[in-house]
Amino acid sequence: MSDKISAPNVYLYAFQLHNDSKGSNNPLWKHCDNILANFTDETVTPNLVFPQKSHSNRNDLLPNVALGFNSNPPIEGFVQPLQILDSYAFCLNIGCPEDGTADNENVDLIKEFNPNQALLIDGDDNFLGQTLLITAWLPENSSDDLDSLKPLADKCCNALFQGNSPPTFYCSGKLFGSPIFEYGSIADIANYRHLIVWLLADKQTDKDFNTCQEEILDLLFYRNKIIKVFQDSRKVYYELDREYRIIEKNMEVLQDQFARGTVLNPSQLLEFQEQLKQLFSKGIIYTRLLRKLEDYDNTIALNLNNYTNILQAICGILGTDKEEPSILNNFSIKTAPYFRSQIAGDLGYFRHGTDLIEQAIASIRGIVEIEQAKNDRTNQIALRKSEIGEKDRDDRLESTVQAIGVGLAAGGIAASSGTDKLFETVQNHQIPVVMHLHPFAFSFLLSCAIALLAAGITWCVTKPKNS
Amino acid sequence: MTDDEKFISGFLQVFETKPELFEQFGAVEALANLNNTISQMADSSNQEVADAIGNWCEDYPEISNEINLTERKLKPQPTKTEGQNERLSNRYPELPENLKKRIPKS
Repeated sequence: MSDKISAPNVYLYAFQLHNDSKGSNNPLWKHCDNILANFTDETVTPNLVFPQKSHSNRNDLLPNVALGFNSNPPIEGFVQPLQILDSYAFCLNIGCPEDGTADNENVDLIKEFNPNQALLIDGDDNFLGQTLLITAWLPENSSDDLDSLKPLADKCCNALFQGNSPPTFYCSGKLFGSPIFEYGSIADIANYRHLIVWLLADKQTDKDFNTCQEEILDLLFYRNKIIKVFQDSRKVYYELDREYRIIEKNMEVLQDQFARGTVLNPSQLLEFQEQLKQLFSKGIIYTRLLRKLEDYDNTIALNLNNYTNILQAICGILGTDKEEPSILNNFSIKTAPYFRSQIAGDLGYFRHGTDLIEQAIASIRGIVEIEQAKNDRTNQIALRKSEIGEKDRDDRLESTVQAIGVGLAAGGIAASSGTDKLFETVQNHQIPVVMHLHPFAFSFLLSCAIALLAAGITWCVTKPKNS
Repeated sequence: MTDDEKFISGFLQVFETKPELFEQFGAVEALANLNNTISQMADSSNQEVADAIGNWCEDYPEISNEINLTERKLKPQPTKTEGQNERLSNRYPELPENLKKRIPKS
């Protein structure tokens, strides 16, 4: 197979989410102008007109739809910026005119379309991805056998990437009657680059490409979005995996702690309470990541639906069978379902993590509650003892005060009422000890004795009983 | 631009940019006949004019090829405003901020 091709062209389709950078500030336009700077002085950003309120899914952002430019003859091109739903997009063409002025060119001419790898965009988190499409006419009467054309397609791919890590071959087929070769391995999803080489052999191919250019751009938009979603889902997967391992390790430590014994001292109880707090916090992070993975699956499903609808629209426009654009169909029946199955598998596995966390939280909470109840009971008993002691002290004090009060009152009454008569009676009866006492001393001692007797009786009556 | 308009425009482009082709393939004399035919079709539709040119070109396949060549490259078209299909959409699930910081850009 000859290395000669006619009118080679490269189309770069790039997509970026609006998010917080709407309008001219979106980084996509800077990438676009940087690429254009390699071929022309024209820039796209100052000419962009953004719709204020649009009810359309898709809007052209240039008044003249596209910006055409000429570079070193015969190289020419155009750029068509667009807004599609939540994203911006552009289709940038660099290549030769297809009017016969660039016939039978060497494949190496493609190198000039990608000086300094300018077409390879290194985007931020909101960059959805890019697809590079090389079209080139085969010499007349060439075979359209896929196997014999593959080396030529490989050469086109290598010429564009100039040997700098070109994407690996993925599959081949025919689209609109001409051989097409797809590059980019899903297995290396983190470094995925999408390249298509379309070797045109049928005049109808170009016509169909022209007719369905809007649908093909939209199709590539949803395709890149699905790939980006899957790439992001892998990042969440790795984070979930990391968290899951930590949770499993924590569970082992907990199991050891449970096995050590059931009686916990206050410091162990505090440790458990701390672990409980940490598990709550981990549970929230883990559940958020799990939800994110579910969101990704949902997003793939929605965008796959859009992809399939556009594919049906293409078949409707061209009046072909659904199986006809097999290379486009391949993504919807094989690649995207594979992404969904992978995420479903991840979800099935990681959902156990939530169960583990819930189980651990329930176990620790149970243990902490039991220990807490034990401690509470001990504290209650101590408090009750202390209350009883206090009451006892109060009762004793009350009895003492009552006894002293009654004693003093009784002594006072005794001292003031009739001790003289009693003293005379005692002296008349010649009682030896009492006879020598002074009447005052007799009265004082008698009232003291009565006071002590009254206090003693009162104390006996009011003293607190032992409980 | 309809297919008929494209075909007529392609014929004119070849006539203006590559007149040598008409000499090369002996079509100069026959051009007068075509000119007469088209002159009489002032009230005819573009389809009828395109058909007349097409019939004339049947004797000169090289010129037909050249006309087809002028129409080959992709020409950006404005977005179709009519018949747009509904598209499902949702809020793109962004990566959590802490994850963005943790994972190096791939």
